[in-house]
Amino acid sequence: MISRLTIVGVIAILVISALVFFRETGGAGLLPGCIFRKLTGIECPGCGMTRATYAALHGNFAQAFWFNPVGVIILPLALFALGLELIGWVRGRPLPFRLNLNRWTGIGLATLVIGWGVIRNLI
Amino acid sequence: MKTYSMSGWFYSKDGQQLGPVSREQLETEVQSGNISQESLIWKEGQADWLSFSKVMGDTAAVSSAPAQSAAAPYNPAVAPVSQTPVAIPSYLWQAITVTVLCCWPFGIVAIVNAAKVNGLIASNQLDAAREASEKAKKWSIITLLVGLVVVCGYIAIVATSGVFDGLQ
Repeated sequence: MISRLTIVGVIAILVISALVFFRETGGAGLLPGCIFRKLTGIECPGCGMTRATYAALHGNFAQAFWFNPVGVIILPLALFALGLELIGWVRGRPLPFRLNLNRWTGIGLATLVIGWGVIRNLI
Repeated sequence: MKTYSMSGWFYSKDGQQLGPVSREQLETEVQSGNISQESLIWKEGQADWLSFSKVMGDTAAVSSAPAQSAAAPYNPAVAPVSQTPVAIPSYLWQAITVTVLCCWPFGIVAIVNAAKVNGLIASNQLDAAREASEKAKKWSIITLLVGLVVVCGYIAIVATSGVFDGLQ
């Protein structure tokens, strides 16, 4: 049986390789961009994250921020929260410290992401 | 919900996590003052770490019949765990991550369901909460897969023929 650590390790190597390739080549014209926006002209809550990631990988954090202000703040937070869950999953029991969302912070965060998707098309 | 009556309790002490120990050992640790009533403890099947007093307080209510604990020492410990109110994951972080990264409207469905979970737990509608949790998980996976298929498919097409170069 493949251990959980192996699964996480393989995925981590793939992701890091992809990020290094992306940092050096800008995706080499291989990334489609947002299909949803191409089809509808509407920006979704995640639009701009490819450009923001590219800017952040080159240390241009201010530039990254303005490509998608909400995404640039929430994504690292979400990845941190998922990282804690992942560590708990690998070792078979959760960490005592987790980013748990109660009822209202959960609804607030969901409203922020969806609301951002609406508002960015109006301004 | 899955419970493993054979696995022991883990407890935290001075920032370290120790265990697994049996329930009796855990109670001895508390009685001897090694850990306090408020120390966090956890065992397999429990969604999150809870204080000793919270877990055992629930247990006391269930196992107050003395004959029961004598006949089946592990059963009282298992029963309150299944009543632990935090056992249903909301998947909200997962839903938000795939929405922001995969750039796909299905992610919104996942977020809406994920946001409902903790509210439903709070109002004790556990079946509805479980259903919303499952939906949030399902739509997060769909969003992730659609995103991966679109990106990988696009890369495959561009890399092999270059017919879509004009669109970039």
